[in-house]
Amino acid sequence: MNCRQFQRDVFEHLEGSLSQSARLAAQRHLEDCEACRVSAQKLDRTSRFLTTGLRNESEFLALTEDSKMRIKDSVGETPTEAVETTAIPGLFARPWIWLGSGIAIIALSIFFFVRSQFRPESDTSQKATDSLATISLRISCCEPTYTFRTDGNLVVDSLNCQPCVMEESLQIQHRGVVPENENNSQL
Amino acid sequence: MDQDELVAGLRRRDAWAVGELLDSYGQRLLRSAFLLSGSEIDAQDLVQETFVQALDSIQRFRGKSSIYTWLHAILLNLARHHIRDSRRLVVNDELARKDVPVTDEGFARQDTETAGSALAIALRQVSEIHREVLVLRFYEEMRIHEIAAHLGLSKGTVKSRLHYAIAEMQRLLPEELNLFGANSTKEKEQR
Repeated sequence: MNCRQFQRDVFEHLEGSLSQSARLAAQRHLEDCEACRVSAQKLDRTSRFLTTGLRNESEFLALTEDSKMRIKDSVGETPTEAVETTAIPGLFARPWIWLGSGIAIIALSIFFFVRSQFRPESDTSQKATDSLATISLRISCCEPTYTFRTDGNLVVDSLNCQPCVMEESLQIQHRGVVPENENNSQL
Repeated sequence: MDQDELVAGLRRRDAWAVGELLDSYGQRLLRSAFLLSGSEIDAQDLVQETFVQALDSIQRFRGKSSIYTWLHAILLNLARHHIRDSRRLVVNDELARKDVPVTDEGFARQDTETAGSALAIALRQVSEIHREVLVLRFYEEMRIHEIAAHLGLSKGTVKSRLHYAIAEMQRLLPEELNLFGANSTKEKEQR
């Protein structure tokens, strides 16, 4: 190993990460070369000076509680323990209101459907006919839930919507009237 | 605590895991941020942003490096952007006033009011790339191959930057510190 090669590897030599053969070659070179020995000693002193100095420069610093709080707030932690949950007070919080609304919607739908099937009997060319109808209803609704939880000194609230779907299938037999000419065309 | 256990907790966003992360790495990261940015206020902001970004992307952490190394890589990236933005701000401010010549030392002068010791002043004055290797080598005490992997450079480039960075510090530090051994004063006189 010559001086140039030693200077190239001097950092690894000081940190002790040279391979065994390179380490032996470096040691042999240092025994023979005073300039490199002095240079390596200086670099070693410099390293220790800078390490100590940089640690001293920054040792007064500490992460503030405010910073910690902001970090925790920003990640939106999910609570790990049970929290108080309160439904919205009032009409929307009562299940029977939703059930009643659903039934009312179904009843109205049936009413309008049946009404639309009946036609005025003013036309004498029409004749009565029976038919079987199947009605499928799908009603989607959203139940809001307001949640409170405590996080340190803070009270965190959130509004979630729980989707609910009601499906109903009804068969209705009714007597309707069909125009005679329309009936003939189908035949 | 086991790193895998901590990462699993962070992925679930458990409060204890976030607290553990801050307690374990916050202080060290803040000090590194201070040395990189040269400002305590900026360091607090950088560390805060580092943790926020880290927690947002914890699902992508593969565990190939330590959590601290991963956090530091995020910090380093943020610090680079911050320093470039600060430099642009200083230059723009100087252009607006038109009475100060524009130089490349905007960053070095922006925080002179918070100047500490001679070492801190010298560190603020070295170039960004040299400051990075100095902090990684002498504060973080990383080995050459670790710095190379951290910065995405070859080992040769890292060693070259270190040599130049140390020479720059030698030039900037007062002689009474006698940083580079007994002969340093004589050497400077000869130069």
